[in-house]
Amino acid sequence: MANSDRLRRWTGPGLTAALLRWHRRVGLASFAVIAIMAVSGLLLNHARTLGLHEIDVDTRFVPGRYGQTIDAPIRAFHAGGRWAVWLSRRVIVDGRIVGSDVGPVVGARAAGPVLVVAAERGLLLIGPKGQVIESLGAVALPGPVERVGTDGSGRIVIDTGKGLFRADDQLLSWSPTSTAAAWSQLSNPPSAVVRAARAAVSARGPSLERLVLEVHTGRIFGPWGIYLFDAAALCLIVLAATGAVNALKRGRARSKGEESS
Amino acid sequence: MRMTALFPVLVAVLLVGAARADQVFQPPQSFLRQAFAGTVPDPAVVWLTGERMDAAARILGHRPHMLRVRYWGRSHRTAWILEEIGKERPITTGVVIDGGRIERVAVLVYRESIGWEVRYAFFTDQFENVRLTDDLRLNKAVDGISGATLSVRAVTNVARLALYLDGQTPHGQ
Repeated sequence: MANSDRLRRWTGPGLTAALLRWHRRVGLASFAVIAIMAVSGLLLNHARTLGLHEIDVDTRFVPGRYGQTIDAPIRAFHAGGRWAVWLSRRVIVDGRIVGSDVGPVVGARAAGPVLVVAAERGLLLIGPKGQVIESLGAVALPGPVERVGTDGSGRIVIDTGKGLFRADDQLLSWSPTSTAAAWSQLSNPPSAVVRAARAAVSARGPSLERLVLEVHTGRIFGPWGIYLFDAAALCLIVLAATGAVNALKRGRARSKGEESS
Repeated sequence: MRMTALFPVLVAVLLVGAARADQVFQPPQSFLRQAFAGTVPDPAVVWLTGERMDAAARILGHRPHMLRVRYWGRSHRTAWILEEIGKERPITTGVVIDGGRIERVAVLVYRESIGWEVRYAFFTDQFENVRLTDDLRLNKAVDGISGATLSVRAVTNVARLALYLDGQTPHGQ
């Protein structure tokens, strides 16, 4: 008798009721997270149309790692009356971030109004108003830059490990040289420069598109947020499966009812 | 026993996944040598000022981060090595243009962890013979790759930018 009750619970109307019960429970438990995933997903799909990638979010409104204080060590070089600072993987000139992804800064030299900032993976040419004129990567350089300096005529010279190379006056091409150069040296920046650099790095929030992506994946809620959103994604699968089975069973029951009547 | 046997496979899969970041598929210098049959011309630049900056911003969906773009040109042929961010990190793409039409697009360096399928010929071959329309779009639709939407967008925009800039050089006029 007990066995037949158990069997009835997992077949026929018993199964339908159990599926409906679990569909309801899972749906209620995961509703909030699934709603967040759905809305953020919609926003991501239309992020470019909405211009979300162009909106920087103020770090005051962003929790966690985006708003953290930057205490990383600083490397600074002084040239042409300006400071080039390397802090937290970013290059900062005149208090503005002008580059990242170029490796640690190894020196800076002025070529007329242009500030040439040398990093391990490239050179940045910075205009008088702080605008990036060009970022010279491996294809534009004779080798990885170890030092940057100027020769007697004020031309930029780089030491690449493959030898010394001198730039033409437009900083477009390089020719081998053996002329002596005055090399850029590490300097101690004034506290105002340090403060400006730290402020520039810590104030840089993510774009709104990036922030929505962090919400969509649950990363914004910390390491446990990812697992929470994983669980919600699994709940979606359960909801789809229980919903589909219920719909099928109801369809069958309806057609059986029509046949018997 | 079976789990022990699976462990090295799992490690290998993880290592392959990790190796997909920062991959150099073709060194840029080699791409240029190929584009110009071994003798690479001296570089020249296009300045992004005024209308050019506006057009580049329309193409990329954001203002370019630099004021001048380097290229290599000879006769009616130009080669461009441009970087555009896919999701988080820049994708280095080479584009060769001959007579105002794309001859070759190649993903040279890929730094993202996903979306690397854009390097394959089934995607890049779609750009062959494509030119730019007056409204700065490609004259032929480029099929996307599911799971690589942002990388596809970045490479497509770089192709459009290279075509536009080619038209601004003496070689493309």
